[in-house]
Amino acid sequence: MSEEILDEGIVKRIEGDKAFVTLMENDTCEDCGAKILCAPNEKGERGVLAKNEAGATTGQKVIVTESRDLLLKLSLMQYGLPLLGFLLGIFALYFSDISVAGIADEVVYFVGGLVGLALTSALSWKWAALASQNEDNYFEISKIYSNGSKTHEKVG
Amino acid sequence: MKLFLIFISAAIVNNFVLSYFLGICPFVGVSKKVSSAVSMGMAVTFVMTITAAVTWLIYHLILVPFNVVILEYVSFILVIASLVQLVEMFIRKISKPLYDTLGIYLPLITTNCAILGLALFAVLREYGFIESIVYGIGAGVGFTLALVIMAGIREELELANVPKHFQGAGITMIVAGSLALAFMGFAGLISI
Repeated sequence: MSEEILDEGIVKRIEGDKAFVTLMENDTCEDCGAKILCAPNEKGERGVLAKNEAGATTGQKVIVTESRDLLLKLSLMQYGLPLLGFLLGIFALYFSDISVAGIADEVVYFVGGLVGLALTSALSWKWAALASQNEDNYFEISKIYSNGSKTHEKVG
Repeated sequence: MKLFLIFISAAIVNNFVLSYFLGICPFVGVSKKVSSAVSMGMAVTFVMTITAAVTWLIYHLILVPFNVVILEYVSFILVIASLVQLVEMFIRKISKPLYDTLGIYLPLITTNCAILGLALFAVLREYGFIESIVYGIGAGVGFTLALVIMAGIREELELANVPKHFQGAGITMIVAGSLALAFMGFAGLISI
């Protein structure tokens, strides 16, 4: 799959062969009541660490793209598989009509779901570790702008 | 059959985003790309399903027996916030790429009224435990569907010649309104 534009941003600092890029607020963020919470890292910066093969320097405006389209696979790994485990755990007990004396059936089903969730989470953990072995970075800087005009585009 | 109808009702007929207008913030904010939309949809479906199960247990096994139903909102909000925090910690620990991409949007799930709406609607409609879970999955699938359709259209709009004054938020709102109109065509198809 081809590279897709993630967002525009400003290079905040260079960290070796990578650059920390703070993402610019787009128009859809303007009226969002939760935008104040959009600060993921410890320093409160809304940004990503991206490969800097294009050679961007601090303060430059750049376009950040996904270096590989792993997002769907990772999402399936982290959400789809555990959710499937949770549902399987619940429905396996529900259809097998198992009940424990003194405990509500729903609690038993829920515990079954949690067991399924834990098992599949462990599985997805291993899978993610294997998948990310060769994934140093997920994002890369593909274009550099200076004063609003394009000055450099990464080839290849 | 009832479970199937609950699922279809939550996913399409009474779509949380396009019929109830809940969860509009992530609907607009995370619908620029189809891949991000699917990921966000999966995250919301996961949280919704777990929330449906946990809130059902809390309501029927704690709040009702102890006659403290008045604490319904507080306890549900607490459950949702805790769940999202757990998911966020889990993702940060095991998958940095996913956290880098979705991490900035996870707080949107905490403040997503669709999740709280799901918990409250499930109680209001007096669903059983399994019905609540199916309702949660259906609502999550419906949310994902709305997000993906919107993202698909917005990706195409990147190539379209949109008049200057409609660009950005303007055309996004027009598309969202048109989608809502289309989904309103399903209204009344299933009443569950």
